[in-house]
Amino acid sequence: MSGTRVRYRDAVAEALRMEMHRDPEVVLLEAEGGVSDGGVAGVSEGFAALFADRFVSLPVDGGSIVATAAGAAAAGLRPVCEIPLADFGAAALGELTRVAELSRAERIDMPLLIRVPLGGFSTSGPADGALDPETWLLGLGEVRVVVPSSPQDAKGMIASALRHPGPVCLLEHEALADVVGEVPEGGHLSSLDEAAVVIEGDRLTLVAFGPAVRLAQRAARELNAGVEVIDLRTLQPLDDATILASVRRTGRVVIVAEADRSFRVGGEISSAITERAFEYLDAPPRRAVIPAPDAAALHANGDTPAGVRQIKEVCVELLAY
Amino acid sequence: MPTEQSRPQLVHTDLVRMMLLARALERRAQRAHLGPRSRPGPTRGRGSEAFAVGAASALGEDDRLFASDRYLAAHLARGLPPEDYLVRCLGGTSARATDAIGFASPGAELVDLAAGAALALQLRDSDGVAMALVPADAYRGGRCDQAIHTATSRRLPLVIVIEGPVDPPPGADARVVQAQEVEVVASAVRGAVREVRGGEAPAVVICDDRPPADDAFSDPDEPRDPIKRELRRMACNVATRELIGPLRSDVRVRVRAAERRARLTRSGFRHRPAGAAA
Repeated sequence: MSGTRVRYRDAVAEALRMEMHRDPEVVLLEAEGGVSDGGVAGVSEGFAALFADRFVSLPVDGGSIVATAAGAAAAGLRPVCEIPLADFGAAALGELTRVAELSRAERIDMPLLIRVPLGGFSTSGPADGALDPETWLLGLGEVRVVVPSSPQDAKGMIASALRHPGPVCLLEHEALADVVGEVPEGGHLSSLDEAAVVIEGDRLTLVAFGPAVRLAQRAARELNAGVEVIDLRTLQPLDDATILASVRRTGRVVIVAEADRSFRVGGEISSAITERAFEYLDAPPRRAVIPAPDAAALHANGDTPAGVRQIKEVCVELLAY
Repeated sequence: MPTEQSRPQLVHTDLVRMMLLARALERRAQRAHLGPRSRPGPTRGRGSEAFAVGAASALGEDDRLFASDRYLAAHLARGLPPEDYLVRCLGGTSARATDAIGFASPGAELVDLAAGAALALQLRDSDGVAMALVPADAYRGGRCDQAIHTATSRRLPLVIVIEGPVDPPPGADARVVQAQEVEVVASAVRGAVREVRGGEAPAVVICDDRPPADDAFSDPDEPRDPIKRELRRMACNVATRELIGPLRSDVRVRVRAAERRARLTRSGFRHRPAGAAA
């Protein structure tokens, strides 16, 4: 399949446009007068003219948008909505909790795609990091949580999410918005429940998701020491089979975490490894805590970003254990 | 076959049966929770039965209802099997979905959910309407106004039925009726549904749940109890007096059947019911 090089945000827009042309049940719900015309990253710019009735402006209230989308989903549509955390994150995530419970308790299919832009000042505001979608979302068993780290995955995961029978949360990191990557032309689907080995190695497993994957890849390449990099791609469900298979081969694992907090994905992975691959370990699982990656860190070609340095330090320590 | 004259009477009897069934089921679930020697207190839906049944009875096959478990009677009227209610109350998962949603919901977001469903009905060119039943407290939170704004700007087929004395939403006409009178509620909501189907959307019905003044049928000790009121009214009419006994025994039979199907004993579940969550 031939491909073209596009920016992450353009891949998201292309996926939405293609899906809305393909399926008349897909509708876009956005906050009226929201962050900017076309949503946070301008992804849906021009959609109102293109899709008329299927582009719905709603009052700026995250809870209201999520509930309206859920109602539409319960009645047979496939709504897509965007929830910038800075504007109304807590209300929206709280509402999503109730929607997930409704879907579970009443056995209602709610095919709903919620795009959650995060990680930058314009999306998370001055309180960046205070509202952590990981801790809100991962306890909701009914909601798939996916984190595409490349334009190809962003496009494919949106297409897959709009064929999935339940709610899907797509975490879009602002730092990735201008990252360019190869994307297949036409439609393609990406798995919503599988991690991917993006660099193969046999001495240490490095696990990351979102923009941290790019830092992990750079660290692995610079170390040139048999480091395998796994892009989680999906946080709920967690693809522990891929992680465990890798750890059983390498015997060492470093989990990249953006903040030194408890009750996050890293803790869950660490627990799965110690419970199910303990006898294969040559060293205890470690976390590499890095600052939240920004666009500058991802595009830096010369100076090594702080995140990459920190990942390398932990890897070197663990390889010498 | 019922004659044209007897049909309204049958409708009324069905409405009262549903009200009685809702209350009996709520009491049964409460006893199962608290134990057989407990002294049951008021149940969540007590006093709201006429409002719930009256509103739900106005809906047709293609319509959607959004109501919390406080309005159990509405869910029963829309086809929720009684045993499913018992299973849900005791921590299980309903075996099958109905077209009434919102059982596990606190209330305020139901109007938004209904607005979303109304959007779906409109985009699919359906003749159906979406209805939300909300208590006054949920309405006062402001989210109803937002949903009404959205529904008005897009003329969504949405009916909002509010229980409690509230001011009509700004810019929207509202019918105001007495919440204790099941047929009055049903008639007002039917009118609202008809209007919405005719394109005059959205519609709001306010059901004032304060006890009616100088009401001959209200129980002076419990003026907010619509079931006592309806039974007193039936007892005052020679044509309906004889229906009360069979109605009560029919409800008892239905509750027992629901207990059996939910595998509920005097002291709780005998074993986990089919479809219950692990």
